[in-house]
Amino acid sequence: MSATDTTVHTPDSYRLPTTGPWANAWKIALGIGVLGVALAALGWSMDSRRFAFSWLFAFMGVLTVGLGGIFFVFIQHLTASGWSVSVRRLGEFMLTGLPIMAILFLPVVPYTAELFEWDAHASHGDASHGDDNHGDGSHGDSGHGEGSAEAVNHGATHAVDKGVEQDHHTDASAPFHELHEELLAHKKPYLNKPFFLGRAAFYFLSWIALTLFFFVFSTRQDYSRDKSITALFQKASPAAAALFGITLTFAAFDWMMSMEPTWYSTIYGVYVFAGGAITSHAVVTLLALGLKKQGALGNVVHTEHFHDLGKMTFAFVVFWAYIAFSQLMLQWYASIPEEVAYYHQRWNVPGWKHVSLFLVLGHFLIPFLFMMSRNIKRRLSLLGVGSAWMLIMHMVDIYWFIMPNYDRSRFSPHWMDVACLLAVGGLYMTVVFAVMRRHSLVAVGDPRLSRAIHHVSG
Amino acid sequence: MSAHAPVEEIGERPLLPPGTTFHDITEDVSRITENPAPRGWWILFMLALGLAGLLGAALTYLLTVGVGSWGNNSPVAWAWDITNFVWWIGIGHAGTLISAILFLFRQKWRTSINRFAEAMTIFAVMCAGIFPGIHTGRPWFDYYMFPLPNQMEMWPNFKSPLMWDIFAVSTYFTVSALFWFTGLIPDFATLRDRAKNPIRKWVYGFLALGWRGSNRHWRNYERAYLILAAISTPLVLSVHSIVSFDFATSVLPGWHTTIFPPYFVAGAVFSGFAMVLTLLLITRSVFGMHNLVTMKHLELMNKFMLATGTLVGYAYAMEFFIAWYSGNPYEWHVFRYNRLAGPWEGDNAGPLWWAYWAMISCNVLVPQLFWSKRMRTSIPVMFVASILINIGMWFERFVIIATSLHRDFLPSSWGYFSPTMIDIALYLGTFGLFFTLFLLFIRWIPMIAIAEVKGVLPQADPHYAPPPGSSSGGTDSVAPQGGAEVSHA
Repeated sequence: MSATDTTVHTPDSYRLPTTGPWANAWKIALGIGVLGVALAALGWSMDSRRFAFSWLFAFMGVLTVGLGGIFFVFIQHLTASGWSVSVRRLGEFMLTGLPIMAILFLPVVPYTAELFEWDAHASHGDASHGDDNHGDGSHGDSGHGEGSAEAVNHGATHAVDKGVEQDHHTDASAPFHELHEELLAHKKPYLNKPFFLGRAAFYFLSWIALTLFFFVFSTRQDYSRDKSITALFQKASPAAAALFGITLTFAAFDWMMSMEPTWYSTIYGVYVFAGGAITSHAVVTLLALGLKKQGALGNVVHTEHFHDLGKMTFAFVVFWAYIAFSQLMLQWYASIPEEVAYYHQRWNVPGWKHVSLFLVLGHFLIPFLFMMSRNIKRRLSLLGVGSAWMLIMHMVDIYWFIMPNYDRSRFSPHWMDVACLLAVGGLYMTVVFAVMRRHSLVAVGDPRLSRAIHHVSG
Repeated sequence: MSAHAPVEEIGERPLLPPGTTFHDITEDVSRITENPAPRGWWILFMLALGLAGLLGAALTYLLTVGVGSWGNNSPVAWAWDITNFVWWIGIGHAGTLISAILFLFRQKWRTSINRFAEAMTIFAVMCAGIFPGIHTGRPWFDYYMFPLPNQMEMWPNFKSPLMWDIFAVSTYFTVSALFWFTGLIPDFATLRDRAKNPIRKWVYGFLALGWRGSNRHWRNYERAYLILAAISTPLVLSVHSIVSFDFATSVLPGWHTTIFPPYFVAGAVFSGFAMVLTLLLITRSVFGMHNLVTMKHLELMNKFMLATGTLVGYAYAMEFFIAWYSGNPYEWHVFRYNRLAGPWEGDNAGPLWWAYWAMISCNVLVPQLFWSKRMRTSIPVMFVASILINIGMWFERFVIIATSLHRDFLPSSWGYFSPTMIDIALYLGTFGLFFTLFLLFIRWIPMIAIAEVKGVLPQADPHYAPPPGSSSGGTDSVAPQGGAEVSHA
């Protein structure tokens, strides 16, 4: 790295190789996606309720990766960051998969009554509803050996359910929505299907708008080298941050928190954000490692950038633990029934305790110790292992958010979870990799590229 | 041209005015500690000392008579005592954020304000520490809070968040003081080398710990600085998170909510930046340091206040939304009727609605001014805004404490809080203590980190080539060998 930089960086300098694994990456992703869709369709024909849960898990797991990409991009502009110019385009590619997520949300729509107790409540009395797949240990059925977990969970929220008929208080086997009728009626102005779908439309429109804004202008700058585009990004990024914060928070409330509509946590949006922030840095690291290995990034991305990406991943791992601990500690310590039911569901129900412990170890303790070392962050193969691990743990985290609601009496993994993840992840990656073929892999038009190339992390 | 040169088209400007030399910085900063204090300093110092005397008098009275001399009474069992504690400790957080977190994020602009902000941290923590100490009622037993072996087998209650405060705050104070002192060593050496008076030479020489500016010294210094920054970083989050646990671990509506830890941290940084700005604007203008603390620094601080103020607004919104969403009628009552409802809602209004609206106006609305560049760069606007934000953040703590307590579960026991003269005297008195220490600091200690500011000058870049026809930057006794690494580490 000499101080005098004579290299000319053109939009064609850093392209996806036309040979080798990256050239056909989108085809491979498409293959995975199609296989996943086929398996998911098969699963759907066998058990539509399980399909809905698995699909929502896969959808949220992948969506939070894409949303993390928005964060990765706007935070660089918000902080007027120069070092990250080398890798910012990789974050921008992560956004391009977001529009297809709007389509991949559609399978959730017909199943809101299965997924969200508040909608089951709304559809209550509809004879045609939901009697096809309730026989497999579904919600509200505590006829299992571990029924006590269910009973406590439901009993927990009685305190605020004054209007429920007396027999329901003692009869924990009544469906959830009957037990909490009054509470669900209270929440109806927010938790109802038309408003739910309207909000979803607003979220997707916002994310697509942010994607178009950041991606289109940035790729245009590759050719025009117009410095005013960078100034525009910096000017717009605070508003982008605000829009992102609001939509992410309420999407997290709508699509995950409201699965247990009697439970609530003010920190929930920050919690989901923290996971996405880790994952976005991990994914950018993995993309950069993969592309660098094929020589597609030249000398634009080097150890110093990987070191910094590793630092950011490490920082957000700690941030995630801080947020997760805050929620757990406060709800455990106060032990208010309607709050603590959430952790009861994830600790006292057989199987879930191990998942919870695995999260503590795998999402925080092990990566914390592993990623702390400077040597590991600068040794690219080890950094790759750490990043891939965090991506996997993110999926476990989302699984832990969603799946305890499938069967409140036991831990019940299913092959469809993997099938749906292949479907959603494969289709998302197909778009990302296909777009990647058509654009420079580096934001060569950014006026700070040379600063980024000469970056020293220390 | 160096790759690190500012790109003007995207709004980048040099941090300090072009042509600033190493020698200018040494002169501008050292001079303040060497020249006789201006008359204004003495007037302020006497005022501050007088207020500190008021603190002494109020404390003496309090210890003689007891906490009954405060306005606290059932149902408002905590009031100004804990409000002041949380407010002061929050003020300190900007200092640690600027000195530690912004250091790890390679924010070079921090060098002009970090020393100043860190000194403020230390003094603010001292003021904060007084309140939990005296609110125990029998402060002469406060040593029970430390896990001291004793024949009565009496141990602190480790399950109490107040206990965690003791450890969090004392750790915070210790690490902040160490970090501050470590950063001061090269600058003390500068003052030593410039000193003409032998006593002055000896004192600064003692404080400089034998610093000679050798390569080895710089290497050790930078390593120590980096490690202390890494240790301080989690403290920025942990201290105010634990302060928030004082409230959030309870089951009291208005206190128990999971967003409290990050919300308190954002609020602390917010109020801390406001306090740094208030003090900095005055000091900068009195001592003519416009070349060291430029409009760019001030603008960036205003952006920080906009960001943290908006985060605080997000937390208010989440609390309010979940108060409704939870369906908990008590929670909703606190937010809807104890706080939001004003006289325009007739009998629904609580007696402290004005405190809530003062908080919202100062903390959420005022910083929104800073979306505009004109407002961000107007000294009168930012000065007034910074004071309003400090007031708003005091009200935030008062709102959290008093509005959650004064109308509790049993309407027949509802009450109101009015401060007594002792409450007021104690609060004003802590200002006396704070400003006494602060004025001594700006008089005797280099208030801007000389060596660090030199490290971010273009001349400190190893690839720097002076523009043709201009003289290169001067050097002096502690020119920062390796200073460039300070800003890169």
